[in-house]
Amino acid sequence: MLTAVAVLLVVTFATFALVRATPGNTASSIAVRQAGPGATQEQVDRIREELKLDDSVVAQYGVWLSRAVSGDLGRSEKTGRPVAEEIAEKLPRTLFLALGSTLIAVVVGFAAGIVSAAVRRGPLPGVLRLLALVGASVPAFWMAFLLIVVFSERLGLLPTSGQAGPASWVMPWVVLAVPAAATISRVVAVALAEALRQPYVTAARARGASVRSTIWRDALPNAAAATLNVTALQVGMVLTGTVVVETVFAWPGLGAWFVASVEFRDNWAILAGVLVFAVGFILITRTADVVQTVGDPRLREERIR
Amino acid sequence: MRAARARSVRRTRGWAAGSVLLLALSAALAGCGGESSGGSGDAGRDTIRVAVAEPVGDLNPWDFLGQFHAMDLVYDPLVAYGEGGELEPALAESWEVSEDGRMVTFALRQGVTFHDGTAFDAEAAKFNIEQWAGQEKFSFLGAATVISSIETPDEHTLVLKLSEAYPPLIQELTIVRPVRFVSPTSAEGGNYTEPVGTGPWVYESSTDTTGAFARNEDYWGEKPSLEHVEMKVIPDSQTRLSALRSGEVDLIGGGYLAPINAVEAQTVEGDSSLELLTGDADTTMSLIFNPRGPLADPAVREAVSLATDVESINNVLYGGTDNVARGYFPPTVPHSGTPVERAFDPDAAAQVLDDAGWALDGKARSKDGKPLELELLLVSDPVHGMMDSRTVGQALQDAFAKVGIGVELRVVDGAAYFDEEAAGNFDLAFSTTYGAPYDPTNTVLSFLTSDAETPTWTTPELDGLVEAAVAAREPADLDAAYQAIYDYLEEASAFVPITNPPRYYAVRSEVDGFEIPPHEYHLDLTGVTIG
Repeated sequence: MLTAVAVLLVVTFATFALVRATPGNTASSIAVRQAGPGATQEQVDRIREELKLDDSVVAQYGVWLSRAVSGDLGRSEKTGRPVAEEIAEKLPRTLFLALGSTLIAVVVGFAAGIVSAAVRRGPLPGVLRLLALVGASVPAFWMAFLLIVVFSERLGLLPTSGQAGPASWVMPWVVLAVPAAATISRVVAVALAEALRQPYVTAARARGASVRSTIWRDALPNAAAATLNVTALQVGMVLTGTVVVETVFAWPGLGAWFVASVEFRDNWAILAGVLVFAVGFILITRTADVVQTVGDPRLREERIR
Repeated sequence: MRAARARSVRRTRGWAAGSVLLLALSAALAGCGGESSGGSGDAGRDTIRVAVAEPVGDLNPWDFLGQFHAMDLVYDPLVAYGEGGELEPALAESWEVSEDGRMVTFALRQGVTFHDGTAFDAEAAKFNIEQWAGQEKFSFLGAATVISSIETPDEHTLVLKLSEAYPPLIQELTIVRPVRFVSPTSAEGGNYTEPVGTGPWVYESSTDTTGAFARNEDYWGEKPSLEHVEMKVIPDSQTRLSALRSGEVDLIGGGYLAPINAVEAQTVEGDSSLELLTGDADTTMSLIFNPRGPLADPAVREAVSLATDVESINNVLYGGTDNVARGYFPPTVPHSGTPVERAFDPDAAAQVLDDAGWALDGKARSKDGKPLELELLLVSDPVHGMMDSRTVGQALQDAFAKVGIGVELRVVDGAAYFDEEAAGNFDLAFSTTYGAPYDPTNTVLSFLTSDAETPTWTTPELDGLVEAAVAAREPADLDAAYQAIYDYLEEASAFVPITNPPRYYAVRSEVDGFEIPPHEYHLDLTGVTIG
């Protein structure tokens, strides 16, 4: 728990120091973004005061921290709304994308990986390997626009954007899931192939177990443990992938909101966003740790809290 | 020990499982939310769906948070900005400026009510104006600084007394914020609560992804033909275009509403289910100089101007030379002066530099040991008025190298761009005029005066010329005063006007009657019908 808190502090402070150091993070610049033609000195002064831009980085961070622990994440300079309110509104939407696509990625990735390792002959393993390579290499925004052109403009099957019922979930989920599924499938394939070469598998087959049951009962659990770390990493990648996907698909989630906040130099919003993402990553890695101990009895004994 | 560890493992498992389940649940609930999609036929013929880049937001007219166009639909001004800067009656039927210019009398339109039924009269007008006149917060607006008192001799007459004559006042009353009118009942005590205006559209609801407006059945002016306006927030311009092509929205475009870039405009032109409307430009994008550094030398400035092939640049950007800039303002801006044809003559540029002592040594020039090297500041995420200038930047770098001027390109993002300009960390940069309805006054005040934050060009002499132009009253005097400014800038080779970017709007072909508004902050859906 203590390490988690320490990590959060370091990550939020370091990111924030970077933002402060970037050009464009001045009250005048933010005032101009806010007001369009006509930013007044009064506005500039008010922004400087609100964001504590006169203070040192440490002092400004300190102000944020002292408010954050009591639940006050500040106001957005861009919209005037409380940051906590915006996060509460947008986080579930991003989670919906991230968790949904992770589920798809795990199912598809495992299926492809299992088939890849279990099938010995024919072109299938090679094809799956190629697909995985393509899937991992294709840039998300390109895939996104391609899907929109084909399925929305040409075929009229899916809506182009926005959060508008189940049809609108498909493309964002697919774009997020594909690279993750590709990676997972390769790791599963390799781990499973390795597991299938183990003596206990030969022994099981000798005892008369079918191919299917050796895969499911003996090889896969051993392979799965090794792939869990990779899967956890993929969830992290999916989370960061939401930044691009949400922007292209006009999905009103946290990823797009965070990018817009950085562009605007919305200081308090940026800090809160980094905090949320950092917490997310910590939760993911912790969960992966725990799931691993569930899967691998050897680790239960060694687990250090 | 093992028991304790086993318990702690179970606890962690429980905690982890619990939090994952909670997240999944909230995510699932969130996924079920969102607006329902309007298919191309669903929305019906009485609703127009407009894609917008920014959420509707907080429509408080006395703050800087909300979307201009939502405010334009709901709130009316006293005076409307018409084509070419022609000032037309809106909530004021007529107005009169006194001899000395220090008193303006408005005859207010009668029988106008706010959406909540409150009467629009002189008292309501006064209440609104008091919220911004004299406030430091709005001191960018000349009107806010010169109004010294407001009188209401009768229900339909409004008198503004000014501390000094200020001819641009009437035009300033056409902008969107903060000069429009909210119902005093809903904004009692000066505390804005709801967007209750007098406009042709009544605000119904909005979220961070939607906006809904209904026709004002009691509107004082021409009532819209359509019954509803739906806004869909789509921040990415390519996605907006896709939404238009797939029939999810009916209208995109405008500099601030839902910008279309030149490449996307070409796609629209090639699509028979869509119609591209191109409006007369209201802004000029220019290459500007930092007067400190090598560009302090007028010969260098002249050479840069001669080495810039404005026609080619416009060809590359817009596929033609219709948008070549011929002055500080495009012709649609009032008092934009006489157009100037610019010469593209690299040989002459080289000659000018030779004559000024910038000796050519191989490919580069130098004078008194100082190399002729300029830094061109470019923006990577252009918003309206900041064209994606990287291609142009590279073309210029190439062209200037041919006459021996070395150019280094530096790309920064939008927020940084402003700061770097203000700090003078550049030699060359691009700058754009404000556009209607702010020009010519606000642009010259913001960019050509010595207290400008990101000046285009300033000298004490120019300050005097700007002051004279702002104070001029008669049309002939105004034309002459502004021409004096343009001539002065031309003499000094103060900048190189490059292009007047076209104003693009795109509609589905079943949308009829949409006309490009006189300025980019106005969303005029009154005469529009669908199908």
